[in-house]
Amino acid sequence: MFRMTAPYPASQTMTVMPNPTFSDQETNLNTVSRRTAMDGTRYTYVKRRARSKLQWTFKLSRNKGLEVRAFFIAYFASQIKIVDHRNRTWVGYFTSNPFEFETQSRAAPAISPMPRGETVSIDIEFEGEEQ
Amino acid sequence: MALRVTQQFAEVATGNFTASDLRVTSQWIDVVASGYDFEPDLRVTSQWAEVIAAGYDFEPELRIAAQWIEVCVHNVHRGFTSQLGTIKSSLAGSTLILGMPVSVTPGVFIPTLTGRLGSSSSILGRTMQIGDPANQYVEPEPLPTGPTGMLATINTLPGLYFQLGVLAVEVTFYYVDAVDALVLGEEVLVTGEFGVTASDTLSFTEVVRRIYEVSASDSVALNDQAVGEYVRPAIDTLVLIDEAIADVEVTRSVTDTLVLSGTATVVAEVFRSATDSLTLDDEATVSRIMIGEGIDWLVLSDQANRIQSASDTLVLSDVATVDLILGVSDSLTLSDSATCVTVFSRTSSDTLVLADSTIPGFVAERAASDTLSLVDAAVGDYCRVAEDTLVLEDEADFELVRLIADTLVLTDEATFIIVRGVDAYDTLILIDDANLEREIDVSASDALSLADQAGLLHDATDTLVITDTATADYSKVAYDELLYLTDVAEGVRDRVDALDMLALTDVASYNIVRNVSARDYITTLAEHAWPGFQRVTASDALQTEHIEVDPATLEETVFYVGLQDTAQTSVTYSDPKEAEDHLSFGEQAVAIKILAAAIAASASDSLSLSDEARTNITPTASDDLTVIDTAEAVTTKLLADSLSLSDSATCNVIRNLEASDSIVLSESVLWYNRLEDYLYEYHPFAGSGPSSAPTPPPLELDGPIPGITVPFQLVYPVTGPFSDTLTLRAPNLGNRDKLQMSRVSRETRGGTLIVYADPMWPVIQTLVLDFSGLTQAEASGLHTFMNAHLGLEIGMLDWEHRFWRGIITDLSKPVVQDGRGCKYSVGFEFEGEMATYDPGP
Repeated sequence: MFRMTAPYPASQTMTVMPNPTFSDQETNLNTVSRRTAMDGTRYTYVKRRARSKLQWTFKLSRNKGLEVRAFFIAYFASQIKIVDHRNRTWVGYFTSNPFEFETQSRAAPAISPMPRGETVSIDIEFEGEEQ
Repeated sequence: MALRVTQQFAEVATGNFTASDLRVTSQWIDVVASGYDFEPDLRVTSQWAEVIAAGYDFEPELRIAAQWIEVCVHNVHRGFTSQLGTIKSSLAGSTLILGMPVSVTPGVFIPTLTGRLGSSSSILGRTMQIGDPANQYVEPEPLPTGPTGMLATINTLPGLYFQLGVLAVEVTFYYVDAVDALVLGEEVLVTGEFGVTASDTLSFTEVVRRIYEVSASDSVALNDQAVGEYVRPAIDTLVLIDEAIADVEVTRSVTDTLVLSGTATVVAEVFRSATDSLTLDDEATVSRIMIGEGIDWLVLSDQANRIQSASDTLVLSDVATVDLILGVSDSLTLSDSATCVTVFSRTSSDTLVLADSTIPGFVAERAASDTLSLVDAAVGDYCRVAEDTLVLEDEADFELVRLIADTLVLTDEATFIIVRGVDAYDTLILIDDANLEREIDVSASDALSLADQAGLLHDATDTLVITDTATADYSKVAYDELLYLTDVAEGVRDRVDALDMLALTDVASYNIVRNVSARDYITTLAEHAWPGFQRVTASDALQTEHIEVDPATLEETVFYVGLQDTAQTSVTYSDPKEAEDHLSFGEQAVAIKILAAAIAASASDSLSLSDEARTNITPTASDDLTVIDTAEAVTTKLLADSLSLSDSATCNVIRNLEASDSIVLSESVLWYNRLEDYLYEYHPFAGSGPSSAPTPPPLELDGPIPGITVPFQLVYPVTGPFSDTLTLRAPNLGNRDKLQMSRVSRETRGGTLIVYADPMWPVIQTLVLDFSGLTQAEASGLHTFMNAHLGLEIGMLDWEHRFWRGIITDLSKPVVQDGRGCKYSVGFEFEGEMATYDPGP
């Protein structure tokens, strides 16, 4: 289970989602700059960042997709607390822009009140620190 | 030549038993003239008036029933020397003028007519009594009546004599008609052979001049009254100047009696205030009189009674000034009282200002005594404010006397019988000074004994200020008592040591102390001065004098080293407790002229300052030290200026500091349920968050519009009735819904990510839709619809029966025919937001 809570720390809204699909990504944002002197000595300049960049892909029902869509509209610039599928807690911001919801396939039956059962795919980019 | 009023008589009738109802019924004045020069003017020597009351209830309305005027005339050129005339008139009956020539002998001294003071008040109508009652009195014959307003007849009545002492005076009457009305500016003209003019004007300034050896009477009876009932202001002003002046005195007695009655009566007690001002100036002046006496009686009765807010002010000036006489007696009896019978929260004030002095000039070996007895008391029971101020000046100044005794006994006391929470102030200021000038073998003693005490009261304050010159008497007081001493010792001559020892003991002690603070401050100011000396260094060495000799010119230059300004410090303890310490210094070393020989010389300027502010328990401690250190030289080769400063402000204990700390609290409540259904359903867990939080997602999903059956439709305009509609099949799967937000994302130097978005910034929602399996008509219709409403806002019913409003943005997608039949495919992008569906009527 994947939980998004916003805003942080005074949480107001939580959206509970199923686990993301495989191929999720977690990127270290530390950078290393390498310089070589005239005598061949290598110098490195390191810039460490505590936060990571994470990317998840969710396949949701149409109703849940609309809920996540409403969550993005409300808290796209707020600090978010995410408890991922590995039960790790992250605090950061959404960096996706734009958020694209793609209706991939049908998924019967329809969940009220929507007339059709469909699946929605959404990619989420997130930068935050693990708590 | 001047006239003298020798006697004045007034008959007073009593209306009731109160003094305010006195009435002047008649008044008689005896006036004598002195001098030997003659003028053809008519002089009023005596005047008599009869005043009667209106009724038995003694109403304040009086009537002048009769008035008699004695006129004397003297005309050298017309041969009327030594003949005087008198005129008598009556207002009640016929108007008569009585001429009364009197034969007198010039140069003969006539004794004083003191016997006339003993006359009774039987002056009625035409009767008049002159001289001693033992002398003869003759009633004049009835007089004929002449024309009104002019002198008619003149008759002579021989055989009328008055026995005045040893001198017999022959009196001759002349009967003349005249008019006498109580009108100001009235004149009585006397014509005929005697050629005199009689003037009778009831003005308040009446002067008779140059009367020779005759008596004159001037009677003025006034009744000035303002009576009103139920009237707010009542003003009655009576200004009276009664003066009889004789320029040349010939040993006659002068009597001037002035009786005044000024009354302001309020009948009803509705009136707010009543003012009764009685100003009286009574003066009897005798100058250059041999064997005479001056008597000046001044009796006043000024009273304000039974009136709320009563104010009774009595200003009295009684002066008897006599030059070159043997005895002076001046008795002033004064009774000033303000009595309130019943007082309810009122203030009673009684001020008595009294100045009594006896100043004899050029008295040889006579004793002068000046006794002043005062009883000034303000006594009130159950009063709120009681003030008793007694200012007393007792002074005896003599020159060339052998004995001076000036005893001043003063008792000033403020006593309250029942005191509840009332402060009592008793201030005693005493100046006792005995000065002798040019004394020869005379001792002067000045003993000052003070007994200043305030006791048996709460919050008692006793302040004793003593200034004693040449002798310092050290007093010892206790119980919160301030003692100021000024001790000065001055050396007048040179080379005389001046020693000033000031020993001061100030003790504040309490035997039984209950919540009482004791403070003891001793402030001493010692000053040393050596006037007339040169090149003397004072003990405090604030400034010294130095002399520098120029080797080239041998000129001496005097300059001073040291402080040029005094240093004053003051420590003030007040509420709030703040301590201020200001220290100002001015030190300057200026080299005006620097010669070439001064190259090797050095100039140094050292300034040591110690500025400190200490407070034990003080909210604020401020210590400002401003120092300007300047070394200036007009022409020099070396200039150095070193300034070392040390400024510190130390607070040992700091309390009551102001601290500002803002705590922002926010509350949020959030919950969720671990049910599997919630992973698929629209179910955001929205709780309560802070007020600044964004708007949470709606709890209910904005679902399809009921009643819509079309799979997909474009309409124009947005609100109905629609003029253009295009119905298509539902778009293909794979459609995308884009949310593009405007936000600012920055990373700080520390690596912190900052994301900000204003709620006003737009959120662009874009739907990317592709359609396939369309007929040619549908594809063409879509083209036609887009071309017709290019850039216009249209409405769209999506495949989920929700209504959008927006515009079609991407027109570049072509219409593709994939095969025969319904195999047209087309796509577009729609940018808009959800809206309310309104098809119209």
